[in-house]
Amino acid sequence: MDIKPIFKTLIRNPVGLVLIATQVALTLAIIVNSLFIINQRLDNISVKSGIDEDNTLMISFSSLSDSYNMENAIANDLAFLKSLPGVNSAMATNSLPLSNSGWSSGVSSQSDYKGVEIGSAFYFADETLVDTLGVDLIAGRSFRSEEISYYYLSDELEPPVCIVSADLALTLFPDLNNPEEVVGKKIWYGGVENPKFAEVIGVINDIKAPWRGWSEPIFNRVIYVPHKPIFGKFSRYVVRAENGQLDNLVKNIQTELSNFDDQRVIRPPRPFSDIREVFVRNDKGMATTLTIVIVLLLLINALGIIGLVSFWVTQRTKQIGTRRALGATKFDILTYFLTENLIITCIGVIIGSILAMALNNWLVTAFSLSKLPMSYLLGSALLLILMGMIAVCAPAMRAMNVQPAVATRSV
Amino acid sequence: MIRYYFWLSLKSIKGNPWLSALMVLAIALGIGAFMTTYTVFHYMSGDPIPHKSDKLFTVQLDNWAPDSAWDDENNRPPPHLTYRDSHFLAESKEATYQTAFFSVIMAAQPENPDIKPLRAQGLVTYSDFFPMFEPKFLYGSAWTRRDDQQRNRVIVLSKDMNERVFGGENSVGKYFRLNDHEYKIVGVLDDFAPRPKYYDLVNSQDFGDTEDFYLPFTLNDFLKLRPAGNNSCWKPLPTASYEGYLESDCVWINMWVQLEDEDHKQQYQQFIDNYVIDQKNLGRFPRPLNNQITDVMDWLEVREVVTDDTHIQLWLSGAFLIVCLLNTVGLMLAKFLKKSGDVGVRRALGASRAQIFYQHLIESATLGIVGAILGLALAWLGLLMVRSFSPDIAVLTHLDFKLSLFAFAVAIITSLISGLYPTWRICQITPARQLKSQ
Repeated sequence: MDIKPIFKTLIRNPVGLVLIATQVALTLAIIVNSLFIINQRLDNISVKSGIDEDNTLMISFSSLSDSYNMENAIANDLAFLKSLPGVNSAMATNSLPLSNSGWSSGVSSQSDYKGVEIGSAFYFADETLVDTLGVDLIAGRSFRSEEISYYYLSDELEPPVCIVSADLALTLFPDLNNPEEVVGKKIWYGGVENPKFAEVIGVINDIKAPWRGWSEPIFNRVIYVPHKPIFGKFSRYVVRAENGQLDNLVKNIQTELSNFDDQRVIRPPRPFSDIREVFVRNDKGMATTLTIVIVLLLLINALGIIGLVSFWVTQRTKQIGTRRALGATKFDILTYFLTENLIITCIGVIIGSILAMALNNWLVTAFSLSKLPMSYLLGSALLLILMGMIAVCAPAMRAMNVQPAVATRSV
Repeated sequence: MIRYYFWLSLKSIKGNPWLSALMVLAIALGIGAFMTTYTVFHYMSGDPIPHKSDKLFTVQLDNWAPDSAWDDENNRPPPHLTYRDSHFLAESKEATYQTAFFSVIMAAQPENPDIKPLRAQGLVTYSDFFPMFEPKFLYGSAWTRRDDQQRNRVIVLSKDMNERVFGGENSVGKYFRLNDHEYKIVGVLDDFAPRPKYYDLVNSQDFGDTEDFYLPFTLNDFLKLRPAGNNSCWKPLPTASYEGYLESDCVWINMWVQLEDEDHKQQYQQFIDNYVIDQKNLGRFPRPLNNQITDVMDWLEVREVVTDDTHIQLWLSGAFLIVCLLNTVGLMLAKFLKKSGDVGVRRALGASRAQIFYQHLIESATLGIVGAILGLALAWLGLLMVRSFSPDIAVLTHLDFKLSLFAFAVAIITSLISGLYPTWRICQITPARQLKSQ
């Protein structure tokens, strides 16, 4: 197959070449970067919180009057909740992973805070921590009931013991071979002027903070402290349902609690699936939008190629007939159009690759995305070339079937 | 003549339904995608209070830790102030208006026993809040600076709260019960939901909820409320008590002032700088002087109200529109050149180049109009999708008349631009050559 005549034709009438190649180039640039962003978002969406997500709900209440006894209420509520059919376990806490609100504070492995201060999320829990959240305790032990105390907002946070995430353990003590060895070590908090420590008694694997953290990678750094929190007139429970009982519980728990004690406002419960849904919402939206953009772009490109090549076939019907009459086979005609298209698409892909990298560079600086791996570029280029070949098939088949006799007729 | 050309273009569209449909589809998809993202961007980047956004300023003082900045990257002070600093600034009356505020969650207890106690979110603020941010009143009016000073137990309700508790009637003069205390209602607001909610960007979803009630800040002397929103501390409280909390360097209070012009702004900057220098002598504010007053639009930018995702989507959909435009050029070229014969005949019969030019330009515009209508429908669908994914920005997804007009303009301009080259090409046709081959 001689490419030279194809090139000549293209150069003589370069408008089609320029139009399709530019389209392909722009499309490639957009698709590569979109795919890359989509992949990152899919990673975000599939994040594991580290707790038993399918059976967990969170419910909060505020009391009405200043004289309301919060400690009694929490003790009674927890006993009541645990007695409800379908409830596996329950405890008072401040927040859950992925819930977008919570506490964080700096901690250190040394009392003078030399070395580093590590930002970490603080969760409150009682002796039922492992049962209520279904977390994966990989070393040490959970809290004991005699270690648990109430915590009021004005109190200084002084936990004698704590349980940490494996990631925090390794960040605080980089010399450890594995996170399990952190049990028994001291973690310092409270600042340089007033340093205090808590002894690590347990390690939890793969537990997440309430938020991702922008300037600091706080997402995997978590500390559990042995307190039942009372925030003024407000407190919050996390409840773990028996398998398959969550929906029922979500339906009834607000009424049950409010019938049990009506001197307060009980908020509607939030099953963990809701919390997760809100957490991944933007990523989901972005991934979907970009997927639609990619599909539409491919569609538009394909339709454009079909339209333009069809026109060329019509325009060249007579030449095709002549070529056929002079002995060109159907296959020759088909390969002519396929090759022509391949050349155009490849030119577009080459320009597009440069554009894609430039676009990625700009995204990196403007929106602090990460660098594009080469595999995305290659994959997208192949995808576009394939799209071009499929699109050109229909008009090329039509060209292939032009009868040699056409050459003898005048139009 | 235009009518004739329009008729011709309709005829030509009918004569080539597939190519025409492809072109309309390309324009429509491009416009649909672009308008979907542009609509969200348009609302996100809008000015929430156009007539005075350059006079309202939020105040930040850098009271953070000596060895670690609040924000290393941009050297911004914390977005919130401590109680003692905001209290001082709000009481000092150096600006035209000034207010400190924080949001609280309390239980509202309606007198009507049929209505259960309900959760209410409120702002604890100074009377200046109302003349600064200008919510409209349905009944009554704001409380006064005198009420602030005398610590009168007064309250302003939102329209929504007034409807839930009083069935929407004029409740001014009645009492409203919150956490076992009664407050006299002095005013009920009309709908008040600035988008974005610029005066409290840290704690609220930017385009989400609004407050149910407003209480005087000075009442906090008795109420001793805790903020429902963000609270950040860099060192332990001086004493473990509520008083210790108010004395501490924890930041949790919004501070806004109204300043009339550049001179006024400089005076105010001088004033807060002097205040901080005085405080440094007392051993506070260990960091270098870094106090900032930022107006509404700059504040929206600092807080990145228009998200990176929105920017990326806008740019990508713009590029998508360009691809659609290139596509339309190619298709239009094919379509026009197919009619070379017709054009040759018309030229031979005396049509001038200009006439041919207009005729084809009108044909492009016609395609643009059809594309625009379809594109608007697609944008509407796209926004429906955005709404289902992000209910929190649902208020930003309405195609109003102005935006639709804008979409039309973009569609017609796009189609005219993509028609230019093909039209020029078709005008080059010489009558003789076309007639010869017939």
